[in-house]
Amino acid sequence: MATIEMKNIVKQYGDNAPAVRDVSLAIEDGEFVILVGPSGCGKSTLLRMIVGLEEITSGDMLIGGKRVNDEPPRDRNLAMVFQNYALYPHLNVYENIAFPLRLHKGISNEEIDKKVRDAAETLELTEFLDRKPANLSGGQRQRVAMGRAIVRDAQAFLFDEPLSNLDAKLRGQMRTEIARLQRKLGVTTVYVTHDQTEAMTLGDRVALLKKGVLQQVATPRELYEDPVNLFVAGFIGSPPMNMLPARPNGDQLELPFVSFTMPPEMAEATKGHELLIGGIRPEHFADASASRAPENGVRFTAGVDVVEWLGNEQYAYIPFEAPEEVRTTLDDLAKDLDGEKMQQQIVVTLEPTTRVREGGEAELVMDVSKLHLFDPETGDNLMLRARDDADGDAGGSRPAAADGGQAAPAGEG
Amino acid sequence: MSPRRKSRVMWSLVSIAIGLLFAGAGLWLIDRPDLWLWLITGTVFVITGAIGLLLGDSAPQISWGSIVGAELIMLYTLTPVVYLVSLSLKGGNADVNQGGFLPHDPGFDNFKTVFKFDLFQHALINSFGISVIATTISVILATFAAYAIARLRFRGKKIVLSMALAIAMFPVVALVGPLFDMWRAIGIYDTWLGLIIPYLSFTLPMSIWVLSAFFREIPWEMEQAAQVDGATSWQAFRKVIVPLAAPGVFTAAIITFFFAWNDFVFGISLTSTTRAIPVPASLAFFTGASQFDQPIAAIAAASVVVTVPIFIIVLLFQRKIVSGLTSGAVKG
Amino acid sequence: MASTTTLEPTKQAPGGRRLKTRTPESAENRLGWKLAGPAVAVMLLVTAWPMLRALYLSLFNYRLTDPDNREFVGVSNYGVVLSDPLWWRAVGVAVFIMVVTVAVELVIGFGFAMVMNNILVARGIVRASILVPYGIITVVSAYAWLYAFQPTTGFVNQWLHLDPGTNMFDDFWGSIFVICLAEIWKTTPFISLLLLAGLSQVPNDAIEAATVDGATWWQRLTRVILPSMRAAIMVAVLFRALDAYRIFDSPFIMTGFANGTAPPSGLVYNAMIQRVELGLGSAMSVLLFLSVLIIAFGLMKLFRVDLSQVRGD
Repeated sequence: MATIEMKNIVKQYGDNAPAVRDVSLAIEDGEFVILVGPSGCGKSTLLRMIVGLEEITSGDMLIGGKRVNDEPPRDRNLAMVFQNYALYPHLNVYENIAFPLRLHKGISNEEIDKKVRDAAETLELTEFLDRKPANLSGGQRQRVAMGRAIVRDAQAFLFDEPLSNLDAKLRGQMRTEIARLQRKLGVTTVYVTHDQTEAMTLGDRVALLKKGVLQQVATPRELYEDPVNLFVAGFIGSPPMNMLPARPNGDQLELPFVSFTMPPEMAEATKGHELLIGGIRPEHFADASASRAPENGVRFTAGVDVVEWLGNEQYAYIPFEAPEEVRTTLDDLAKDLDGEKMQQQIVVTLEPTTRVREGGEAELVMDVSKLHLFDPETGDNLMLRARDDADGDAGGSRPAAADGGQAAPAGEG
Repeated sequence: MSPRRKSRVMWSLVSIAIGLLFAGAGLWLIDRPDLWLWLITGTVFVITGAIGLLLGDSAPQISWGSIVGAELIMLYTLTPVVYLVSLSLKGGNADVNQGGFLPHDPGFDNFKTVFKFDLFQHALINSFGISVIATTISVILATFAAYAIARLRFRGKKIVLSMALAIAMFPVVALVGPLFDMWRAIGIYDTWLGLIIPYLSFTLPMSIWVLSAFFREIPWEMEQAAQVDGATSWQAFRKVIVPLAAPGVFTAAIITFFFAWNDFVFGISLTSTTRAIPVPASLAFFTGASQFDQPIAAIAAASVVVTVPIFIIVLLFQRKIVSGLTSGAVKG
Repeated sequence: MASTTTLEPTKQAPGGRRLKTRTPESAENRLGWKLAGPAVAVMLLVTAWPMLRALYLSLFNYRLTDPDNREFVGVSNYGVVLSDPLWWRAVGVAVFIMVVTVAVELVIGFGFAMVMNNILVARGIVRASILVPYGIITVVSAYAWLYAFQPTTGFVNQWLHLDPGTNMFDDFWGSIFVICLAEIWKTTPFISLLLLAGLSQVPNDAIEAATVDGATWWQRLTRVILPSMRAAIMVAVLFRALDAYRIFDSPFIMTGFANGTAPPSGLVYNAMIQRVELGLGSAMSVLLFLSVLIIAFGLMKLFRVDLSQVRGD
């Protein structure tokens, strides 16, 4: 078990733009770190550089404090689980798990047998030991791949989108299994995924990449609540954070549906900006009459376009129109996120009991304290610094709700 | 040093060593003019190695081992062919009898001679005609059979495939005796037909295998999709299936043609005169000025002539041939 | 094999054709045979019938030049052949050529396949050059090697500074050496292409997984790459072994079957076409056919390979 430290890692193929740009990340011993991002963000490349399947163009890779840039995978002693499991088709389950052990002379057959059976026990594979990989289900293959990793006593585990080939139900099951296993073994783990549910549920920390650049490394909670920029905010969360134009006007902030008086730190943060992008998550809205409606939120009415009822909650879609500048920024963001063109609508999560008619008006409350404001040019989250400063003043406690509550329905619908 | 760079440097050095070995051995053992061949070969390897050492960093994804390997492969495959060409260019008996690889007195006289041979002229026409006819029929029959095998379920499908396999392994020579006898009895000995029939039998298995492997990969739903889009059955077949199947049929045709063009056993057993003798058999019956004088240079010239079509086909269609040969045999 | 799953959809023959008929089974059967029938008939025409005829003729003492004295002799022709050391020597020669050439070709062919698998530049040229020996007429290749090794006119003696009197074709071992060389040169490309197909089906991530698991280059080759290419290797060996055993063209051109270099095919040819002893020749044909069958079955048993399974049928 070991720490993994990346210092200014760069990967460039030929003359193309670098696939990984100047990534620095220190992973502690026993930590579970997720590398996440849309496809082509360089997360898998980074993983393959850690394990040594990909050469490092520049920068330093330290495993257990030792620089390994020029060491072949063999000398790095890491275990990896591949996306397609990479089982050896000609070997049965037992021999697949035993494979890494058989490569080294000096491990007795009894020892191998014990380790393989222990691993099989842990992964509930004992009854399948004689089968060939072709005769296993997806979940079983996945477990064999993990078995091959855990017999190794490797310094760290690396997972490359290990669940992407499983169906949704099995994926959830394997996810908890991986989490349990990692806690039990306490091995340093790096896990690559494009699935944000996996990222949020599995990791101690999550590293979010975009086009080879590290955006934010933080606990899942921090990532969700305090995204450093528009990209992080847009990537994490499902349904995604609502993005809407926000125009500061004196101490008022004008949103498509509503204007309200900004709390002081917000007013401070918006100083010097004419147009911003506001971001607020669907669950920070509520039906005005609902019990969980924030008390000092901002009230407004808006026309509902479509309603989706999911049983435990329902989503209401509210269209709006955004000015040109905001629209281009949001379209670029959508492209970065692998998505379609961003719809000009907000999604609000409502309690399932709320009666909202499609095509009708709804009276809603928005928790202004949860509103993020992003610079449309740089994408930076302006509220992050503002709230940090405010935190400093208030002795670390976060303001529970914004002060301003003067609702003024906006003319759009 | 990173592993990849280490391997590049190693292969570059290997290449230089091979080059020096060629040049050194050439200088030590070989007389002119063949010496030039050795020196040129040596130089190519040395240059490859030098490029690898000096410029390799700018193209890190290139595997230098495979480049050295490719050069060795080409040396291996082309040496005998180049020798045939150089032999065919040797001027007269004196030059031939001097031995050596390259001609001392090069010229095209042998080609002029060989085209004047009655036997060779006829053999070229025979071979070409027989091969083309056999190929056409074989591919048509094989297309039907392969379609049935790839798309329909019928009893005995396995038998057809195993039979094709068994025939592909059949010792051809074991048949020439009975065929010789039978062909004489029914009067098609020493005729085109007498060769076309056995060529069909022995090219069908290969064609069926190549084509059925190919047809399996065709997305047949496309045919229905086209019909849903409003095409008639004939249009669907003509505009969707034919373009999809054509490359496979073409590949099978090339491989079939190679077989027919190459055949020797049937050629020498089932023909006797210029009426039907094909090229490979005719080469064995070239005669020189005297009975004991093998017309080496003339045979070499004729060999070069009959290799030219092969060369052209291979250059143009290498990708198709490779995929056809491999898909027919290994599908795992 | 993996392909059984990928081929599943086509196997079901999704076709409107079946929907149109009331009894799909028999209609499909009939159509199947209508399409495959002609090919089957032609294949049988020139194999099964002559083979049966050979079987029949082999029971007679029958020379074409002396048709009136044809007499039924039972299996005595077989007795003559099987008790003749010449026949057994021919079988030995063919087996020797088969073992040597297939072994050497596997090694060289694997090297070629590795190169073709890894090369990124000039792929087409390498592929084309590898197809030249495959496409070239065997007789032409035999002449090229024959002339290269001939004492005065060739270049080999000169290059190696051998005594001008040295003639490879003077004795058995020299002749067989050149025959094997020509055979190897001509047929290695075929083996290498089959191996290339096998190589390209070795899952790349399994090789990477082995690298991460700590396998050296050699361990990856012997424990992952070669075992997962098993099917391709076996098909290559099977095809080439039977092909080599039937060798005819090269020894015919190079030695005219002299110096004891005649394989069984050579003996059959001499008996049938040269001496027109159809009875004895037919017996040899049948025996040749049987020995091919024995080798084929032996190899299949040895490899435990089901060819239709390899094909994914």
